[in-house]
Amino acid sequence: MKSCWMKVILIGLLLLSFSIGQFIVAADKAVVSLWVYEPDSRNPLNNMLAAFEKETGYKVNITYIPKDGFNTKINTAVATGQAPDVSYLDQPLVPRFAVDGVILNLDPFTKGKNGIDKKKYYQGALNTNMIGGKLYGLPLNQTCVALYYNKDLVPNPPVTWDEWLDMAQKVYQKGKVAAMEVPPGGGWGAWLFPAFVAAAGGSMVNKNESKVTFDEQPGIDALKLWIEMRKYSNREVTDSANAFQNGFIATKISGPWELKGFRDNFPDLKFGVALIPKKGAKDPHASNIGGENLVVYKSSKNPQAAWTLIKYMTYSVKNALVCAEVTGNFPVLLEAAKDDRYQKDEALKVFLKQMETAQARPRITSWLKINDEVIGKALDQALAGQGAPEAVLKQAAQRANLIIKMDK
Amino acid sequence: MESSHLAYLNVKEIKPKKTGHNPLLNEKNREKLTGYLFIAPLIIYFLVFQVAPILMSLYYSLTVWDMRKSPVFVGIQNYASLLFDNLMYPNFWPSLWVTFKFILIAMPFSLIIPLLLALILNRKMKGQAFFRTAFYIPVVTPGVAVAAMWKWILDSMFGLVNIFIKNTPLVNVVIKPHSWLGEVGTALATLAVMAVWGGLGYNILIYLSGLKIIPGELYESAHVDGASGFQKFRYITLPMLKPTIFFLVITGFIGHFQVFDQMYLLTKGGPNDSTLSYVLSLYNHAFTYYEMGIACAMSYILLLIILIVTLLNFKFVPQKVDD
Amino acid sequence: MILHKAGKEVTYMRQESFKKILLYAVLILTTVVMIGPFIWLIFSSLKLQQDMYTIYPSLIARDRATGELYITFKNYLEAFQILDFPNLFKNTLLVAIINTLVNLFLNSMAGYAFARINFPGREKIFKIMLISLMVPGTVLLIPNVLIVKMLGIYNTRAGLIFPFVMSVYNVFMMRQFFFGIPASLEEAARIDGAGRFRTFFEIALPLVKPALVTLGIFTFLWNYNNFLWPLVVLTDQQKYTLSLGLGSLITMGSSKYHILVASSVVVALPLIVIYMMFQKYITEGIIAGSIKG
Repeated sequence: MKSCWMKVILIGLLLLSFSIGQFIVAADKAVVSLWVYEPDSRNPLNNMLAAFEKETGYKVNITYIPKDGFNTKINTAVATGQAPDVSYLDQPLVPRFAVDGVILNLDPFTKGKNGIDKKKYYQGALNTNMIGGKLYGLPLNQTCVALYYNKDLVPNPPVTWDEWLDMAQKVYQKGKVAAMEVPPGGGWGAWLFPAFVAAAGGSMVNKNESKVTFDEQPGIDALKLWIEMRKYSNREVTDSANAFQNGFIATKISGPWELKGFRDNFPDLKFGVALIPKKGAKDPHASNIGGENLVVYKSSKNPQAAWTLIKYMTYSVKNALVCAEVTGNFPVLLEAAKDDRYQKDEALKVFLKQMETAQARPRITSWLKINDEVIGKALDQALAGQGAPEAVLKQAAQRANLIIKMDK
Repeated sequence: MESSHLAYLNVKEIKPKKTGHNPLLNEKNREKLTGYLFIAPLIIYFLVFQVAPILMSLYYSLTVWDMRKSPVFVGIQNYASLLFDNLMYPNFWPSLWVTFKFILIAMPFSLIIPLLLALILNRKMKGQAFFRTAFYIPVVTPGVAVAAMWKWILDSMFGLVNIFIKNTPLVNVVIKPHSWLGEVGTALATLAVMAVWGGLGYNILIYLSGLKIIPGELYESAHVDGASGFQKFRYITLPMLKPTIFFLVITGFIGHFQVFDQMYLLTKGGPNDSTLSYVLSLYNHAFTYYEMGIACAMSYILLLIILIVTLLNFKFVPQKVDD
Repeated sequence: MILHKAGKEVTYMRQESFKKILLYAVLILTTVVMIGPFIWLIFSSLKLQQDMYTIYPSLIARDRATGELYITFKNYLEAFQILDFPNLFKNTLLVAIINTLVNLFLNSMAGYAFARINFPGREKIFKIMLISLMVPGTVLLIPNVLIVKMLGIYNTRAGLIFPFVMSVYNVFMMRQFFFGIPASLEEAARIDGAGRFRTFFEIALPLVKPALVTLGIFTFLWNYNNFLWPLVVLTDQQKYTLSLGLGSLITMGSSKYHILVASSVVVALPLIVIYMMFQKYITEGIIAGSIKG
């Protein structure tokens, strides 16, 4: 009698452990590793991924990485064959990774019942994933820059460059108030520069992206504006930590990722957001586009699961909003951008409008190097007075064209 | 007086006497074996984690490699481009010059100031331990925290330095409030001052350890001979400190030539590349532009420069007491 | 005659006490320069963000609106919410302590051999090692990751330990210190029949205690602060170290400056406390060393 019960219990236990073992093995088969930037708070992403695991039965192994070290880490991992299945990837890096055969062409996945309708994304953001007509990632978020202005110093934001310069002369107080946080040159300045070139009716490169054009008149005018603005903006003021937030700077070019910090940490600051001023009344209000994509690595053992994950993160309104929130940028799904949080917020509304005229970065493989080492350097030199804008830009254009030629 | 002390300094190794425990292993062979045994772990470590990677990167320096595709062998093209192609690699020579200027500003101060302070601290006086502790605190503070701190203190509007300048009567006539890390004229010098500041405590400790092992009898007999304080310094302290100074010169030079952290954290090479040090430029090539081949070539050129300077040091700076 | 002599003595004493005052003045001024910034950082971490930005500096926070003095730990609470400090500390200490102990043992052995034991090729081997000091670490990064992968210790704590388990720099330092101590003491023991190992452990090592403590602290510190290597070798969040945690804060931008300041204090303070604890030992070590020397 006793032993019989024991047998039943034993067999029961055996069956139970077997089924648990089966379950674990099944779960083990579909682990997707995902590398992301360290966000302000990890909860939104963790919750989303928990829901994903429940719905699909896949398991996600997420790694949060400091943004500063992200690209170093990704490259080291790729070089040593330790790449994850899925990761964020900064837009300008996608062409290089695609050309080098590191990331997977996703076209086969877009068809069929687990496919997507590409038209549901913002085309500008989606296009940063299109290399040679093929799709290499899904857009995660997008961003652009606009004009922040201090309402106490500037009641009405300038619309044209002339108005902007007028304003500058009025608000400027030596050592106390600066007219504009003039970008310092370098990579950051070079990233902002295209917005000004376009606002003067020009562009950084020609139509088929074979030659740079920033040394033409619009580029020279844009650089001259910065140099002129510098006269009304002491470094002593603009270099100070959080100078705009503390009310010492009248205007500043930056993106939506600053909004939360301004509002949470500087409640006294009265600021507004406006479109970036344009050169003449007839020129367009321009900006530049930025953001990250989600890519699947060629080394992934389970590309189907990886695809399911990136589709899950970007293709539903609910999740697209989470992805936008954790990165401080805008959703790339057209439906998600219609959400109240973007339509009713005064500042975000302006950014969305500015996004319509945002210019994508040239899809040139060495653009990052041209951006930092060529354009950034030229801006630096001109701002430091080491050469006339015309000469400095002309030399930079020669170098950039050479680098583009070397690429091919 | 001089000669008698120099004779004392001449500490030479006396050959140990034969004991002959093991007929197969005579004294000399045993000594050899022990020597190799003592350095065996080092040799293994050195081969695996130093020699192997150095050889690997030597190979990479002869290739075009972006870390994603496999490397393509191009011979010495990378070296030639760095040295002569100003259009593609315009930062090579300027970054060398920046690093050289940095060493020129930082080295003398980081050798002399700690020596003076160590001499003071080496006297028998109250509070000695306190000061030693205080001076060493910057050394034990993590680099990131140090960077955050300086950024805050040097802030152009709210930083203590500028506020002090603005409000001190005589000083504010001579110096104006200034964006120390933001202006081309001062950024590099400010970083050099920070480096001296950060290494002060360490160098003091090294000097103190060097000073403590100078036998006290030397000073006593010098005192009996009626030597002045300066004479004692000149003829006892300085010669006895030679190994210590040699150590500091070599490591200081190598360390300063590879200066990277504070520039990476505080200026990123700006303004107008005035703080773009050689290693920061190297890092950019490796991890921003993914030109691993160029980065490796740069490191070999750096290696060559440091090698030459170190050999010169070995030749001209005496390293042992009895040299 | 006697009077004259007494006068001379008074001048001498005056000179001495003037010298003393001057020396103390130098030391105190240096102290202010060395730890002043740090004290300012600690007090800044106890201020609300909006009160950090003021051109009327006050050590203790002063409320912008009311002018009242206060202290707040809000920045610390926020920092602890963002970073898992207990786990970060555990990981960092584990790696740093193991590395320091092994480093001390193996490096001083090698340093001793290079300074004292005669074996063929000694100088040559040493000079070759010195050359490796000059290779910038940045470039060894990728090859070292490949090697760590080959050894099968990628993404493990062992991967943080082995590549730094010895240091040519430290060997160089130990060699210089062993040069500095008189060889005669060891010779006496050797004549008494003590072997190399015993001489090393019982005579040479105690003599360089101050150097060992210095080297120990330096190694510990280096491991505690190392950022780039853990970043590329670890993918498992559970194994992250303090500097990786702090690094993620820096990238959050200037709006989080107050949290960065507080976290910097949390990360730096233990090191300073540890150092202060060992400071006594250093003093004793140096005194002991100098008596024997």
